[in-house]
Formats: sequence, C-alpha cells, structure tokens
Amino acid sequence: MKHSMPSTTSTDRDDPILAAHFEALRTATAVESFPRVRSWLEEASRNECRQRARWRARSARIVRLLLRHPVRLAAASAVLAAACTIPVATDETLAYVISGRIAEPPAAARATLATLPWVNPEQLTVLGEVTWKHPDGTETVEAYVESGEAVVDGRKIITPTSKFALVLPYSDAREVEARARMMSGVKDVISAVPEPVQQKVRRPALKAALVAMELEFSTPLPDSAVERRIGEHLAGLRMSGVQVHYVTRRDGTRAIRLSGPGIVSGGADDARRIQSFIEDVQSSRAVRVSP
Amino acid sequence: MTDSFSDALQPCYADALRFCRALCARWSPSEAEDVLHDALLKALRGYDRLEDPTRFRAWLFQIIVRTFRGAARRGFWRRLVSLQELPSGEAFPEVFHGPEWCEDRLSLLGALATLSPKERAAVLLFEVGGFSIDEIAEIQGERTHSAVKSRLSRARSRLRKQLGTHSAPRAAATNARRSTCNRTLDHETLDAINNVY
Repeated sequence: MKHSMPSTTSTDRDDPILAAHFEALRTATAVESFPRVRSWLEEASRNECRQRARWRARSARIVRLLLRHPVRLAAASAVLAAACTIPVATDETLAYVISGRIAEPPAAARATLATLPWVNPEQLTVLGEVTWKHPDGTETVEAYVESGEAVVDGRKIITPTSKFALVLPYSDAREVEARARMMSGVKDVISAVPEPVQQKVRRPALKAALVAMELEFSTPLPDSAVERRIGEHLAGLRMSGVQVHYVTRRDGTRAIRLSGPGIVSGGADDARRIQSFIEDVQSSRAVRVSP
Repeated sequence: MTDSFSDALQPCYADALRFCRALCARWSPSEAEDVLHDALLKALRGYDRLEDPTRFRAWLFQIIVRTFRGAARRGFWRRLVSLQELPSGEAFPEVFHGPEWCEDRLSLLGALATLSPKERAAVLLFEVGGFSIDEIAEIQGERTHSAVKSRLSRARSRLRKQLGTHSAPRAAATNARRSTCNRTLDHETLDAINNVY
C-alpha cells in the first residue's frame, strides 16, 4: 500500500525539523531529466539487442564450424583434454626457516629462544658449534654437536656458541621477517635470517586452475565441527563467501576443500595461513586460487 | 519493450531518483548516478520477467536497494570499471549534478550518511518511496515487521540527533509546520509507527 502523504507521521508532526528536511528532499526537482533518461534507455535497449544478436551469431558460427568438420571437433577436444591434463610445474613456498647463531651452548640457547611465546620447541633445532682457533686468531667451525659438549685435544669443552634453525609454517613473508627481527633482538642472538623453503610441484593444468585448497585433519572431527572452525577462522581472516566441501580420496582419507571468491590470492599461502590458525590440521595442500 | 518500460518508470521516476541519491548519501553524485545506471539496466533486462506490472514500483526500488548493496560491498573496486563494461553507446545523463541536488540544500544527506545502509534504506523507503511497513519488510527481505519498525525507530532517533546540531532550511521548516497542521493522518501504517515511538 502506498502512502498518500508519506511525511504525515506523528513523528514528523512532533519534529518539524526532521519533516522539513524530508520535505526538502521530496521536493527536489527530478522530472526534468526523464526525457534524457528515456532516450538513454532506448539506446541501451538497442545496444543490448545488438549485443545479444552478435553473441548468438558468434556461438552459432562456432557450433556450425565444428559440426561441419568432425575432425576439427575431435582435434579441438583433444587439445582441450591435453591442456587440462598436461602437468605444469610451479614453485611453492612450503614454509620458512629462521636460522642464525646465538652466543650460548645449546641447552641455554634453547631456553633463551623458547622465551619468545610463538617459538614452538618441537620446530626448533639447536646445535653446538665446535670451533677451531687458528694461530692467526681467526676461528672456523669444525663440527656441530647436538649435546653441546665436545672433546678437543683431549679436553672436554662446552661449546660457547650454537647454531639454530626454527621452522615456521607461516607463509606471509612479512610476518616471518618481523619474527626474525624479534628474534634478533633476543639477548645473545648474533644473527637470525629468514629463508623460504620451496618445492617444485607438478600438477595437471586443470587442477592447477582449480579454485580450491585441501586440508587434512590429524584427528577425526565431525563435519559440522570442521565447518564451524573453518568458518570462524575465515571470518577472522576477513574471507567471506568461501564454501566448504568434503572430499574423500581414493585411499579413503578425507579432506576438506575450500573454494570461492573469498580466497583471493596465493592458494598455497592461504592454505598455510588457514592451517596455522586451525588446530588439528595435519597438512594442507592447495592449488592455484583465483577470485 | 523499452517504451512500456519507460511508461512504467515515468510515474515513479522522480521518487526513484530522490531515493537513489539519498541512499547513496555518502557518495558523490557521479557514484549515485552509477548506482542508478546499473539499477535501471538491471530493471530493463528483467522487465520481461516481471509477472505483476502493478508491483513495478516496489520491484524497481528493490532493484535499487540491491544494486546499492552490491556497490557498497564492492567498496574500492566499484571505482574501477572493466574496459569491457564501458558503455559503447550514449552516456548515462548527469541526473544528480543540478543545483537542486547540492548538499547545501539537502542537508539531510549528511545526516543520512551516518546511518547504516539498512537503516538508511528503511527510512527512505518509508519517507521517499512511500512504502508501507509490509512492503519495506518484503523489499529488505525481513520476515518480521518488528525488525523494520525498530530499524525505522533507530534511524529516526539518529537522524534527529544529527539534525539537532544543524539548522533546517527555514522556509522548508515553516512550510512543513504549516502543512503538517493541515494534514490528516490517513496512512494505514501510522498506528504501527506510533506504537514504535
């Protein structure tokens, strides 16, 4: 039902200022532009018809051409099938490693580095450096020992410095660099340099073009729980419109496939970012993701 | 088809324009024109599928609301147009560039810009579109009337707060005062609105 007088609400009557403002809007002259809009609509409609006819003609021409020459149709199908199945190789960053040196024996170094809340001790490797002092005063590292103790010239020594390597599943290079800088600021740390770990991955072109990523869970979870967790984390990452599909592979393992416009770039990166946020994700595998 | 579409559009054209401009209160006149352009194109394309021509007005306003929502979601990207989407024919006329649309005259636009898109749409559908609560609920895809009522109530109180700090156009205020005294409350949804306040 339409209002006969939209402004005649009791509120407007009680509030003449509000009513006056709406009145000013309602009286804004608008009809003068109608003839121009009408002529634009006619032109737009003509263009629309022309475009539709052009598309119809083009698609009909292609269909006619292919039907007239079955050999060409077969060749086109073969080329298409080959394009989809030929493997393409891509370099994917699997993880980052922050490696460096610290002026402490391994046990103490491990304890010092573990003071950073984001350092996972299981991903940290620390080896004691056994150095040899040359007569000219220079030092070279002769060996690395896990225990931090070594016997040099019949004397038992505790290595004064250690080498460390920390594996980070984070895929965002800037985040990893920030963490490396934090690590450099820790007492006794001599150096901390981040490096990507890359792997050449070969996948069929069709699969490489898929808008999808797959996650494997280490413990069985109900579908609804997985979906809820993924939804929460995607929302946290400001990814919207992502769909969750359940995939059962030939070997019987179950994976989750995420797809949709919310995943915007770097499929592998997104997968690892999600993996780093969701507990229980054992591994993630992602092919190229496009909007 | 264009003729019948234009004929159907003509009676509600002015309200659609005012509604669209006020809905895009935060944006420039050109951006509001983009929304109107897209909405009219969508309406033109879908006009064949409109089963009940008497519902044209509500249908058109619904398309404007949806187009506006889509443009707002696209955010920054709405400023960029694909080369393929560039109109090849006649350019869309500049409908919001006249002096009657300037923000000095329509000080309401600034206050409307502070509302959420849904609140803005609800209050404008009521005030400019002249739709009832039922129709607004349908256009906004709400299942209950109370959602629309409370949205209207919130929007109005915010507008009142915002406009309280600005002076209304004096002549318009006088006219409105004079006219509201003479008007009769004949709208069927007035009771519903009154309950809200």
